[in-house]
Amino acid sequence: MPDQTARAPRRRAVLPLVACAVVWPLGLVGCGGEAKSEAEIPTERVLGEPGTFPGQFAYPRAIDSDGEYLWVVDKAARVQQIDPATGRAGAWWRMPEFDLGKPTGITVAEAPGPDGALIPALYVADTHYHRVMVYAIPTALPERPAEIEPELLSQFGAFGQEPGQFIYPTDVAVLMSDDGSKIERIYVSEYGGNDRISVFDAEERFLFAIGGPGEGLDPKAIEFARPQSMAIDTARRELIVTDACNHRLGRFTLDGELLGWIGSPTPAPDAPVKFEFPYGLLLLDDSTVLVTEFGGSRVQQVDPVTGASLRTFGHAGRGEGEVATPWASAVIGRETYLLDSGNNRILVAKLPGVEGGRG
Amino acid sequence: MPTLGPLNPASLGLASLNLGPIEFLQPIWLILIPVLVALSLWIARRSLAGLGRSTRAVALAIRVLVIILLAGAIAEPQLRKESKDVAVSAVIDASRSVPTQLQQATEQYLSEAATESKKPDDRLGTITVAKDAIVQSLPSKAVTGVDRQYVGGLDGTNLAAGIQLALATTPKDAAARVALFSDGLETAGSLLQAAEAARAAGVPIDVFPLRYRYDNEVIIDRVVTPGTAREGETMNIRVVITATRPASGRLSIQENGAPIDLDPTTDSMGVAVSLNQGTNVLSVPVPVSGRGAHEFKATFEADRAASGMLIDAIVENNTGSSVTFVSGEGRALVLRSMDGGPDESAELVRALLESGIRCEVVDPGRFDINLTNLNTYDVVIMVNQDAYPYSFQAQEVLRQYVHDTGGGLVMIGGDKAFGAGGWIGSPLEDALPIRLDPPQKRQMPRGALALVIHSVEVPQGTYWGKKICEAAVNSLSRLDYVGIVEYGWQSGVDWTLPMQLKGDGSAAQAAITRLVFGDMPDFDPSLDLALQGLMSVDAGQRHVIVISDGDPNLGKPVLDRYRAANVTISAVGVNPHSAGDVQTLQRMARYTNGTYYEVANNALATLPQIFIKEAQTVKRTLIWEGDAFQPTMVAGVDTLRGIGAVPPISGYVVAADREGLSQVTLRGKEDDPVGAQWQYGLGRSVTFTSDATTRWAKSWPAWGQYKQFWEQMVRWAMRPSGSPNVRVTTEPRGDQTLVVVEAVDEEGHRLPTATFQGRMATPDGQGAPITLRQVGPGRFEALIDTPESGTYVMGMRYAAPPAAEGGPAVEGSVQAAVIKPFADEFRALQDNAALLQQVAERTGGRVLGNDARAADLWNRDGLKMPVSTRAIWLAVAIAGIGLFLADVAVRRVRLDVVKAYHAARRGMHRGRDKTGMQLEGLQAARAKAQERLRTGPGAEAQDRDVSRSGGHAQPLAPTVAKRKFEATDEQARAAPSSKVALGGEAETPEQQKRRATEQKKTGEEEEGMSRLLKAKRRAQDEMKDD
Repeated sequence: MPDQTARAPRRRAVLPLVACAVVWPLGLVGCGGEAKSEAEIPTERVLGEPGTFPGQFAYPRAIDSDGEYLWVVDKAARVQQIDPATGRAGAWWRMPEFDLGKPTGITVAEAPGPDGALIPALYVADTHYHRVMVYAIPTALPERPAEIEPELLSQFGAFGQEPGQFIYPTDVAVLMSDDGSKIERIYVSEYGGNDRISVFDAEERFLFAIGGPGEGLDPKAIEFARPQSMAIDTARRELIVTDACNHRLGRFTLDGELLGWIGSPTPAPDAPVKFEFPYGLLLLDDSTVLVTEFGGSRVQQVDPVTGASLRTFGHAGRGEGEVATPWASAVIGRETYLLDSGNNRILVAKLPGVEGGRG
Repeated sequence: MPTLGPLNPASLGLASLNLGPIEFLQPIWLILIPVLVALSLWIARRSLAGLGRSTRAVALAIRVLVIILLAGAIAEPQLRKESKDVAVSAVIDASRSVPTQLQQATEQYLSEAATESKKPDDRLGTITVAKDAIVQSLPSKAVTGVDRQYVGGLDGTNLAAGIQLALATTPKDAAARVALFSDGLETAGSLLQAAEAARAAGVPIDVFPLRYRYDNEVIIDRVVTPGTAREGETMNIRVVITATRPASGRLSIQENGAPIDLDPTTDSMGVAVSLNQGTNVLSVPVPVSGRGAHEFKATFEADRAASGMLIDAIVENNTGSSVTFVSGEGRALVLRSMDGGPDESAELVRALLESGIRCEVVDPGRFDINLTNLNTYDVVIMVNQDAYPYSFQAQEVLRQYVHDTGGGLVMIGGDKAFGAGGWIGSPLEDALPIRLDPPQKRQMPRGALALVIHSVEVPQGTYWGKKICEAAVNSLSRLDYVGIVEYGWQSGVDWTLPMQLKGDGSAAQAAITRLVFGDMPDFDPSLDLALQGLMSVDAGQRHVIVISDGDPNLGKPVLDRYRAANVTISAVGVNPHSAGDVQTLQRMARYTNGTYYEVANNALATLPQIFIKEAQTVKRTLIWEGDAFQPTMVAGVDTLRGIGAVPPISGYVVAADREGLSQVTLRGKEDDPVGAQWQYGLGRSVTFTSDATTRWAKSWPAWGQYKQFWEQMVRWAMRPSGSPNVRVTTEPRGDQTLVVVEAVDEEGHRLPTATFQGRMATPDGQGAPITLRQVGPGRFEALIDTPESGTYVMGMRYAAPPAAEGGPAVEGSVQAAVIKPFADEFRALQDNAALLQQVAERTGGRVLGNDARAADLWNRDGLKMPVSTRAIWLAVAIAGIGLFLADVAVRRVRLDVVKAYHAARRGMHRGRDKTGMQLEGLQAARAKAQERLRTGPGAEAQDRDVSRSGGHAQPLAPTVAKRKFEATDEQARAAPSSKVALGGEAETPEQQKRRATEQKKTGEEEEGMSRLLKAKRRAQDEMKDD
């Protein structure tokens, strides 16, 4: 009897195995699931495809969101409004000039409208024309893709190395007053030999510049090698910059004082965080940043205060959940929109711990 | 899946079978269903006879289902999902024959059609077709019209290629249609053949004929001149012009680019002519002077009508050309660089002139190297020429000049010539009697070249990027090191070709095909890697070539490292975006003592030359210089006859012997070939790798046999002069040309026989043999293919026995040329809508109307919608096996659902402990009964019963409780013995039968499990009583 009693649980334990044996073949006919590694982007849907028609992308290089729609700039010199749910294009236009090159930066912020009141606007870093173009954001998504004549609110900048001039501007960050009623400053990053951040007031008058070109070997010096994108943490009153070719992030006070670097041009093997050409930067609701690595073909969530790498998603590839030379990301709510530039698409994913972003 | 021989469905020729959404790939196996069902029914009559009616029906139904599922699984079922979408590939004729306004109308038409009739999930793709078919947009839901990018050459139409490309790019998950927008005129390929392929693929081709008709048109059909003429002869140039209606205008003729004064009575050079409707032949007498090729180009310029209406719509077809070769004394073309340096050809030219060889000295940059021009000369002498000023096309033309038209080539060395001049891998190398790669055994300083490749942002950038890499790598010798660095999207900065010996170049070639031209953010890591590679090899010269648009980041420290290592960088800026980019590249080059080149879109063809020139930097290692020595003469060589020894030389370019028929005439250090010669095709070539100046051959000009040496070399290579008595005429025959050769001897007798060796150089750079057939005394003909527009130059060597006995044998050469001045694209005066209609009819397509809104391009009528399938045989088989188990269960296990439910409820109410206690009590009672049976008076009787029942008595009670009885005789016999074993008396067979009959009458509730439970309870009661 004791034997029988002891055997009974064993028999019960066999049941799940039998059940598995029965269910297993069903898995062969398509009922099975495939576990995905964290290294892959858990893609929920893909927006866009290669091409030059609305809704298609020709090497897209910048993305931002207005909270409802995505705004994407590609190498066909187009600014496209994209429905994040379907990928359908709404309003779109081509930059006024593009023979010399195409924009590489786009920022949704506010800008003075025709009557002086602040309205939602797109700041386009018109890189190869060495200027910033500011457009009013169309209010709604048209029923069909529609090429529009955008309302140009302002433009500033010209080629040169003098203060206030640009060589290849890459991104724009707009600092609003605490109550959001007015623009305090406009930050413009650039490379091409200038490799600095120029700061302007609300009237687009030059105030001062932060840093200059360099290899970043002296951590006390403010040296940039292609500062590609910026984010302003208004809570901490900080400016965060991706110093792309020096493979690091820089933290600055809003007046340009260096607070520290995250990452290094020559990282130690056991460095807590490493970047490979960090191009995109997005400040999340929890004050961490999402860094899009062009060279690493991945996104990395980093705590700018501790400098710790929190999570990493993606690896190089052409397949599902894989990424090729991404330039930037946007976040709406829980969904991250990773601009998979080399694959001419946007990967949409709910990345753990990533929520609400401001570029 | 079983595919047994006799039952192999394929062998029986059975197709698949569709049943609703399921398709059976091997439907023959479905025959098993009726066969096995019938068999099963027949077996069931006996095997299931003991079951109740409903149970038997259920068991039978399950068996049938099992058979259906298993046979169905063997028949390889697939689940089909039919697509509902349609993809239209619009093939748009972009060739020059289609008027611009019609092309614009086509784009408008497509946009309107897409707006009106394209459903959201339908796709549109666009392909333009002219000389080549090029995908503009792959079929996509997002495409709503035409967005033209690069369309290629417009001087031809290959509609077939467009259809083939459309078929190849059809998506698999949508039904396909092709919409062809064309004038129906094709100059290459066969549209009808392509339509057959479309029909076979089930893809209808809808056509939209682009209709036009040129009512006012003048075409120069051809210009006719004799293929050969004597110097000083006056010949007639006949210009054949077709006019659709009477027209007037001016005719002008140029001879080798210079206008001929056709009407000396007027100030202008041309002549006014009036054309009748139809064919007009204008004849112009022209005296020819000067030996060589004379190209006559006729141009007609129509007057405007009084109304201002244009009489002539297409200007491309208003020119025609013809070439006449005038025989005479041989001439040499001397190519030397006139860049302000010393005249390296002076002594040589003087010697040749003294020898009676007429020379013309030109700079290669100022001479239009084409076959017609080259054939004015009988030999081309290249004096210390590097490859840079010669385009690839010019190099190929020079090769053709020797191989196909029988011209001679003499290449003389210097510090910029041969391998040191970037000629390794050039098409012209094939024409030389030496190999420009140094011999494997030579120990000499090596060059090391690293290419740093960034994006080439120009149309066909990838193509050009690879071409220039090939050019640079090809021009290196096999003993040089080469490596390629680029920025890859997967690996970042890395070697595409790690620094290594070039060898046969296959590794480099493979690496070049792998280039991705990634978007390099930063020059520094790439330059550092290249420097690291260069320093890791033992090389005398180290050099880097960067190709970029100049926008990656560049730091100064990396340039300092280059300077410190004495490694030079040359930068090639392809389409720099701004002055900043130019500055970046210039800084890189100047700081490291390299060169900066800027290349615009329209000068892409010069890119390979730049790289060759740059590669020469590392090729200086191919030059041998040292103490003067006398080259060794090879005995028995015609070109050295009468020469005992040659003076010493102090340098030459190292090369290697070429196997085969080449003959080395002079040898240098380590047996390097210094002089060599051979026959190449129809022509001959000679090389001398030292120079003709005082650099390496100081004592040569003063050498007494200097003139003799060069005269013999040049005359050996020179094309033999032709006889003015051998005349060639050509006559166009559609895409072919009839070549007629008439040969007479000096006294006017027709040559009875002659052998000809002829070749033709074609406009595409290829050569073709010419086979002349004798059609009469002294008359020979050949019909040659001349389908493409351009110049066809023919060279023919002939030999004939003397016409009269004792006379000299006749030998010589003759040239001729055929020019097709414009493509057939411009010859048609109206569309060919009939062909398009034929295509639509053959493929089940439609002729689209002018109203785009009503065109319904995405029409689904007659389309075979594609079906995606998924194999489900395994799932069906598993279901069948599962049901088979159920079949067994139905027959073997009796489940009373109602009672099971009640039992379950009781169980739930009593609880687990109580159930356990009851079970233990039952087991204890059972053990007690068994003990008693074993020890008591009934034990013996039990043992007896056990033996009678085959030893199953003891476990039978619980076993039979789980099984239902089946009405076989054996079971019927076994059953009563069990009863007896449990304490009853044995029944006779009659009793058993009676009881069985009674049991049947009591109905279903008395059967199976309930009956067994009853029996079990009775047994338990008895044991308790005991």
